[in-house]
Amino acid sequence: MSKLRKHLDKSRREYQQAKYPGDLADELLRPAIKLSQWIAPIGLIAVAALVVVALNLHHATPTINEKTNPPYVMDMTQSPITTQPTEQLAVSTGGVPDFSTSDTSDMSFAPSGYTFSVSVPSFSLAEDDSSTQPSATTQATKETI
Amino acid sequence: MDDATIEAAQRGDRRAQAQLLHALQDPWFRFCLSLVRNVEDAKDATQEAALRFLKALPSFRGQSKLQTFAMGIALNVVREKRRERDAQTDAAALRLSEARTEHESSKEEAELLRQSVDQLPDRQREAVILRFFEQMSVEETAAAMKCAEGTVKASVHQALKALKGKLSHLM
Repeated sequence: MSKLRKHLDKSRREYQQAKYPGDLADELLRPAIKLSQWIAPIGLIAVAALVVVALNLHHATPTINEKTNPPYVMDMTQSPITTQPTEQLAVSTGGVPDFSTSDTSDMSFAPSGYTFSVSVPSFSLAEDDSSTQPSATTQATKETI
Repeated sequence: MDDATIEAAQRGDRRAQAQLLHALQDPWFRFCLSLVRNVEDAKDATQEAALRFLKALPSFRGQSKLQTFAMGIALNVVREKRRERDAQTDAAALRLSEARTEHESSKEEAELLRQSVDQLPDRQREAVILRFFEQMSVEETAAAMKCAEGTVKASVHQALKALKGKLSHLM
């Protein structure tokens, strides 16, 4: 091998050590790759939004009778969550008579079958003990005495 | 660089294209660096070559190796840059070249050879780099240089003769 060839071989080895300072694919293809990564999710979101809008329109338009039913308004406000338990009142209806509401034309204040009378006790401030009825306990006390 | 990857890259598969660029970036860069002798210019030329390569890839029909096809593109880029540079050549560039020649005696042999290669005419330099540094065949070199094989042989012969003359004191 000639000396020139040896020098050429040596130069070739040095030549082949040179490396590109960076990542060519990353520099040239990265924007396109990133964009393609976003296309699918954005497309899915757009399609989902269209489906929701279409469903809302489909349900709202044909079923509402404007004369009888007011248009449905979706309440988007959330009721606040109460952390304290609400106090519940127990109402007993056992003693309440059954009111018939079939015919309300002659409904009186008192339910049928009941006589409603109000007796107002009379009070007098006179010192006549006979006018006042003593209670059982006071009567017993007097007898003991 | 298998055929499946090349075909996928031709169809526009970004991952396949990235694989090709990974495989070609170092050969492109060192080839451009050996011709332009400036890291930043070589990097620019490499990027330009890669863009043109991706654009031209669908037209690749496999008549030559993909590396030969790629080197041909890089060579075109370097030639264009050289023409631009030559149009802007001024006295300062000439002085720099003369200064490099003056310092030859103090350089290593390999560096002397590199400088001697740098001083070859463009065609001879391209042929020497592709033939001896990229280790391409005459046929591949001709394909990359877009010239006849006889032209490559003649360019290499003239280049070696010139190099022997320049380096005669080392031999």
